[in-house]
Amino acid sequence: MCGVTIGVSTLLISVYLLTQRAMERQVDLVVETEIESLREDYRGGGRKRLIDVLDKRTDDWGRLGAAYLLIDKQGEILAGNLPAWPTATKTAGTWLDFDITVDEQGRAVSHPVRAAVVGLDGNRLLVGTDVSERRRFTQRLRAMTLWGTGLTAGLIAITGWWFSRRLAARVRAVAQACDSIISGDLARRLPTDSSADEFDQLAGTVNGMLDRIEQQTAAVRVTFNSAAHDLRAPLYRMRARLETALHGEATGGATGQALQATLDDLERVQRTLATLLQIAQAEAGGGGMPTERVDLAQMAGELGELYAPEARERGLQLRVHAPAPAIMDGHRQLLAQLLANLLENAIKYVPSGGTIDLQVVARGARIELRVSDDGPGIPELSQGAMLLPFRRLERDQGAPGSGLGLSLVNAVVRLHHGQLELRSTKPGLRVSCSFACASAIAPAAVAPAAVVPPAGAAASVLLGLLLLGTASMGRAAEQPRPMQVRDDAGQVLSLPGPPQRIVSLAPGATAMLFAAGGGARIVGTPEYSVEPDAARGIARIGDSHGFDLERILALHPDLIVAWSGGAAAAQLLPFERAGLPVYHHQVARLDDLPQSLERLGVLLHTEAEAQRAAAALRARISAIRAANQRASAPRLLLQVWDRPVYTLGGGQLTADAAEACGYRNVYAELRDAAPAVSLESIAARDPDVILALAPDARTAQQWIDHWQALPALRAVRNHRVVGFVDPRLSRMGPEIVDATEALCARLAVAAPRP
Amino acid sequence: MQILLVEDDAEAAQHVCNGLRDAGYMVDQFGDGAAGLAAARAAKYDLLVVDRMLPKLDGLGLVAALRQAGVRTPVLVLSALGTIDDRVEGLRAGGDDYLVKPFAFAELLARIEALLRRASGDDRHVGTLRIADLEINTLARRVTRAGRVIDLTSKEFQLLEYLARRAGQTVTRTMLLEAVWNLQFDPQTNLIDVHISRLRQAIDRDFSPPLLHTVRGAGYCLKAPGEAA
Repeated sequence: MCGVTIGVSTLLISVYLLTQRAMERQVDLVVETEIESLREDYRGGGRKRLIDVLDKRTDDWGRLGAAYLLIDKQGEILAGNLPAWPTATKTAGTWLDFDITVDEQGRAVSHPVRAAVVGLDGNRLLVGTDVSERRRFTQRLRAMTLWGTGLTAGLIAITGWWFSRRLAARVRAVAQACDSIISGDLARRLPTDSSADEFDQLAGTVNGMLDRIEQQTAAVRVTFNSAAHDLRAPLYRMRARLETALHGEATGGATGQALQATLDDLERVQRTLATLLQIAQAEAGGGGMPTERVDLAQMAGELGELYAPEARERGLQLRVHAPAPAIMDGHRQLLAQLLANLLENAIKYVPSGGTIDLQVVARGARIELRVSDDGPGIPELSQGAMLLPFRRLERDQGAPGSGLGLSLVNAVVRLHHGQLELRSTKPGLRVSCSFACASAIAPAAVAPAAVVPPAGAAASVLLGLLLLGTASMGRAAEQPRPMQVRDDAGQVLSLPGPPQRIVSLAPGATAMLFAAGGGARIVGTPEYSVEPDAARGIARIGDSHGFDLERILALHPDLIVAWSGGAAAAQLLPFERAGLPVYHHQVARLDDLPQSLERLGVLLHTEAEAQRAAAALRARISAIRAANQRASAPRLLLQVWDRPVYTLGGGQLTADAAEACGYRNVYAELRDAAPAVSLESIAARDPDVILALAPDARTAQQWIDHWQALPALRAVRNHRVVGFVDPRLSRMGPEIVDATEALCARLAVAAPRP
Repeated sequence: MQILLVEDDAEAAQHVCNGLRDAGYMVDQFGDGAAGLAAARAAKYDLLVVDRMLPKLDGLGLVAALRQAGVRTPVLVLSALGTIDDRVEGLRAGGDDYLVKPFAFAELLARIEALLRRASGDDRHVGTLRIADLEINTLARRVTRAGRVIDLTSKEFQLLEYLARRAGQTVTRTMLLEAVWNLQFDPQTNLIDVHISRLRQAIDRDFSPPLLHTVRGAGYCLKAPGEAA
């Protein structure tokens, strides 16, 4: 591109310069010839002759545009058509340039003249010619040259830029496709359009290759699955038989012991098989498993904590150094297995009194994971061999374990495109694994090939406009305004703006967010989040047993909503560490629900909708209470589990719902508890009504049947044991109001007030 | 409690059925996926135990079809395929838990109990748990027994909370590893035992009666004496 621009410019400029030169040369030649001729005349006929010739010439001034002047030694003018010896604007040897003013049709016009001077025995003769025409022509030529160069350069620049943009876009598309294929997405193919150019042909060939690889991988997968199944099914049957046989045997007897020993050996075989399968899978490239963001430093901390007591029992000191997060893309469970294997090896082989160091440090774009100890180590020669499966050092034969630990470590490191190094640290062994850090969020755009815009004015302006345009597009998003909100627990959160990507840690909170008008902004919700229906489509991030932190972080939330009663404060620590604000959702009574909704409205900037929902809820709750007002409230036992009987204390939303129906919870004084209560305790309180809140009708019936065995209880005698099945009653969101209405109706029918 | 078992390996199925019946559950068993699906749709079961490799309709297909039909019964998937993504696949298809064969029957039993309990109680949101005179305030992260405060590390607290929420139930070592450490592997060493014994020291040593019991061949159980399991 540059070459063509330069070539064309050079050509045009050369043409201009040559033309200009040629024209100057021509003019000078004319003047020289004239001077020569006049000199001849002087030689031939002396000064007199020269003067005559000059006089004759000057008559033709107007037509020829020539200037003559002859002066003698004293400076007297002898002949010529100039009024005086001119003052030169430029002198170069015998040449000079000057201007004369000529009267043309009443106007004074200045003409540039180029002249030569020659000395003739003391006299001086000047001969010149008007060059205004020449000047004008040159100027026009120069202008044309410049414009020509400029326009050409501009056109070339634009075309070049446009082409290189297209090229860069195609290259980028291919690069992205390749990246995702390398990361394991074997189903991806390179993009082709129908232009049938070299790019397309290349893409077509590569796609063909990928088809073959995908087929082969699928075939390997099927074989792998069959092998796994065929190996494990008989093991399972063997286990089953052994367990059945053991069941009937006395544990201390000879047969019992033999059976138990066989079972133990079977477990060992099973573990070895599992590890082998894991290694095979890791070596096969992970089978297209999608990777997730894993904080290796946090994992090291947790595993260190897990193995610390074990290490201590054996008199070993386990130190973990993982000061800052070290995030990489990988397979979480395999990496955990890797760490566990390294730690287990160290614990197994380092004698009492030794130290084990676990380090995870992010250095630049790499993460270094290191497990070092001061135990016996591995002799240099054996280090390579140790990575092969089932390899053990002579001295370690007979130790428990399968001998596969390091091979799995090797396979996992390879799977993650990392490097593994074993080094003797005399004393001891150091195992170092190095991985690449997680890639940046968005791949950097491929810059278009550098096109140097030339000096042409038009081209510069065009390019400038284009650059301005792209720059301004980047500023499209407007800046949100910072805000402060108070959550249900009374804490004040400072947020940069209304949250747009919310992860809810409780199904009740999800329902509340929907009711307040923020459903569309929820990006993650726990399992069992089915209210409202729209919640079913939201990504799952764990359940009441625990949240998948990695999955949550991968959703890039800007706010976490947690149920204040359930999530232990420690579970929320990782979010604080990650700089994510946590909004606590907390309702202990039905009356808290509308207020909580209103607060959510402030949080989401959906005040109008939230307030409408809150008002509606308030009205319904009031209606429930009003309809069920009674002078004396019958005493109610809320049963949530059978054998042992679990009940609900007074600070529970569900209990409050039941009380809204006009009953009094016999265990109301127990705050925030779901205690197991003994039958004696229940008998002492002797409730009027027993409400069995079972998961389904069959279970409810079972519980009711069980109560029939206790006619000493008033509720049983008076047939006031009621079953109620409604999962909404345990939801901490607006749907509990629906459930309450249903509960009150049921109670009114089954246990009518006296 | 009514359980549906869909398993085509006759001997294995017999073993599981016997064991579950001994434990007090009622079991219906089918040998292929299509029959199993029909049965699950027709009657109301409390739990489904489904093997993956089944004739006519594989286990995951069965579960997916059930979820599609709106059946929310908890499902425990059994499989000889034990790789991580197999597990993820199983859970994504709608399964609630995943056990790799071969497994100890005690493990199966413990997980079934956990699933049944999870499906019913709303104790997830309970703030304070009480077992005999042991009190665990999950909000304040305080543990007291007989009025005395007990100091626990963060992980010990999580272990105790997990056991307490399943008080009376047997909890296996793999369940603990999964729940408290989010790890899915079989540790070679008796890792968990050491943590449990430290926990036991903290909450049982100076008090009476002992609450944290070891269940031979299965795992652990936190329960007050006299309470029915």
